[in-house]
Amino acid sequence: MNVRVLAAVAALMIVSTAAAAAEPAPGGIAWYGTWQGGLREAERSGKPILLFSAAPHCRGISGKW
Amino acid sequence: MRLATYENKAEARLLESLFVGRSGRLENTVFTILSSDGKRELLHSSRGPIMTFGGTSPLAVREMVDTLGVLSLAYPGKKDAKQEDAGLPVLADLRLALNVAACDNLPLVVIVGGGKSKTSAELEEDVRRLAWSNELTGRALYVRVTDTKQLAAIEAADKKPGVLVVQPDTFGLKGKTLARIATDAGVAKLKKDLLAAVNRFDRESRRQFQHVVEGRKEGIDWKTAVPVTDPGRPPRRGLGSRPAPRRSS
Repeated sequence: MNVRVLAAVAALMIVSTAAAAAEPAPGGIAWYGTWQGGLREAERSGKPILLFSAAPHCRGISGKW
Repeated sequence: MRLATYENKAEARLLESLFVGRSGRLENTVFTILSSDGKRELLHSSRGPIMTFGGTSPLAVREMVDTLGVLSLAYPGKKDAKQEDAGLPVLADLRLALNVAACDNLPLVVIVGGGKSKTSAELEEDVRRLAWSNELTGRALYVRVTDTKQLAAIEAADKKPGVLVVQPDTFGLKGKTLARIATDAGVAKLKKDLLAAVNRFDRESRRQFQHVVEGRKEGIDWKTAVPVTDPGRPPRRGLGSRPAPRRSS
């Protein structure tokens, strides 16, 4: 994934890691795991919601998306 | 936000209103961008970015970047909303959280509520502030537990109020305690102990196919909250293979 993609996603995500225009955090994306939680944060921040849903199992075997 | 498909009835209905595939039913993945009130689609909903943007070619990636850029400019958010006030990104319950933590290959921070020295809300507030620190953002998942019977899934879990950092097992059905932090730990100690535990986390490396084969051998059979309706293969083209009506933007 190129740097421009990362930059665009970081700007849009309601869970942006660019807290105070500081360096990006070393971790990954911090996802809100429930609709209610994510919506609450979106309404607080006024930012759009990037929603991705996936099944946390593969053919009935948990532990892999 | 990232939801777990088929794990909540209300969320499944919402996802179904956003996108169903040619099967006409909710499929494993859904991807979209919504307005901050969750009522309008700002982007054509689909199974994923590859479907929305037409592939993985440089042109498709460029389109994605440009689209995200336009949306971020059009919807910059509230000026007075500070990132450090963002809510804690919790998962719905411990059972699901262990599974998701295994899927993500990340440690799980479990906030065990109750206690006299610090209320659950105060403890969670301390964790929340640390969750958004540069050192910890995106490096752990979070869940709160009030029914301590759920902690039976975690080896060596202390049922007293506090914070546990847990290593999920391979299939996300059980966990092992990496650290336990008491409720009366100050923020500095909480941060130090959380970081130390997160750094001790052992990341597994296992291919999808191997994981499924091993899981079958062990008799793993994850039960979803709503039935799985993904057909598991692309539907045949032709008459009758049309998607269900989608909600209007």
